Amino acid sequence: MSLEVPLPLNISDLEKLGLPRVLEVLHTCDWASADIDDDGSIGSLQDAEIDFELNAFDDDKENGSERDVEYMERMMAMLISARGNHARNIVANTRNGSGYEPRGA
Amino acid sequence: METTTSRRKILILGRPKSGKLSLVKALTFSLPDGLNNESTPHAGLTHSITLTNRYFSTEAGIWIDEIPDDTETWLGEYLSEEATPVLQSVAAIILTVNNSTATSASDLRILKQLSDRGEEVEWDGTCLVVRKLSESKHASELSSLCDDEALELIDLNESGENEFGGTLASEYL
Repeated sequence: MSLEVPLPLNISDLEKLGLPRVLEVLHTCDWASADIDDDGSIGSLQDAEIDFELNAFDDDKENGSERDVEYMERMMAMLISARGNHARNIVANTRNGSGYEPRGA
Repeated sequence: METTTSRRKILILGRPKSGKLSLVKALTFSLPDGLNNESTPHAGLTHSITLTNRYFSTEAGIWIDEIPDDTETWLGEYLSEEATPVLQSVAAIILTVNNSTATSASDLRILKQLSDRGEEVEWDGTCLVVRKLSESKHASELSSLCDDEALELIDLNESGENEFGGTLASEYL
């Protein structure tokens, strides 16, 4: 006679599927480090307890951050839209300070 | 907890009708602005998502781009030196694929090339492949291709937990 011993099941050990898995992966991305000029020390999920907020959005860096974002978005606009007119719209919007807006928005 | 705004983005790539907007809607419960009609190209649409857990709450932008027929030129732009800052500003690249089309294999190669380029420039982002759950004959083929390329494939409409004891939500229905 065989004796089956059920494995203890820890719900947190289960692998998520579908949309929950997509969200899980996104949550583990490094949302703090921003660009190639950063020192690379700011937190990912692994060290989020340390200083996600302290480092990522330091007030002293605010102007630089805005410039970075603007630069990135212009670059992205060129990449995405070099094939069509709407690149100009995005770049114009960025320069006007109205942000990155899709065409027709 | 205060929600901060991340400078990093999610880049969603895919062919027309591959499920880019389905994914955005599933993630955010809304669609990007600028969708005037069904024929509106999805390249260049933007949106945002708020990611919250016990450690942080951050709003991240979503960039959407469409893989064109001329993939070489398009990909060349992404792989160029000038585009390195863009890649660095992306935290995750999600490729949406449609099993019913024969372009999935080449789309996977595109993602792989982006991932490889990322390694060259010490990019710390994540690459994912998302498809709508399908019974298509290409479904298992796509799974194999993802395995070969070490890319994670997620069936968007699948739910629940895995085979280690979890029960799929659909089984309760």
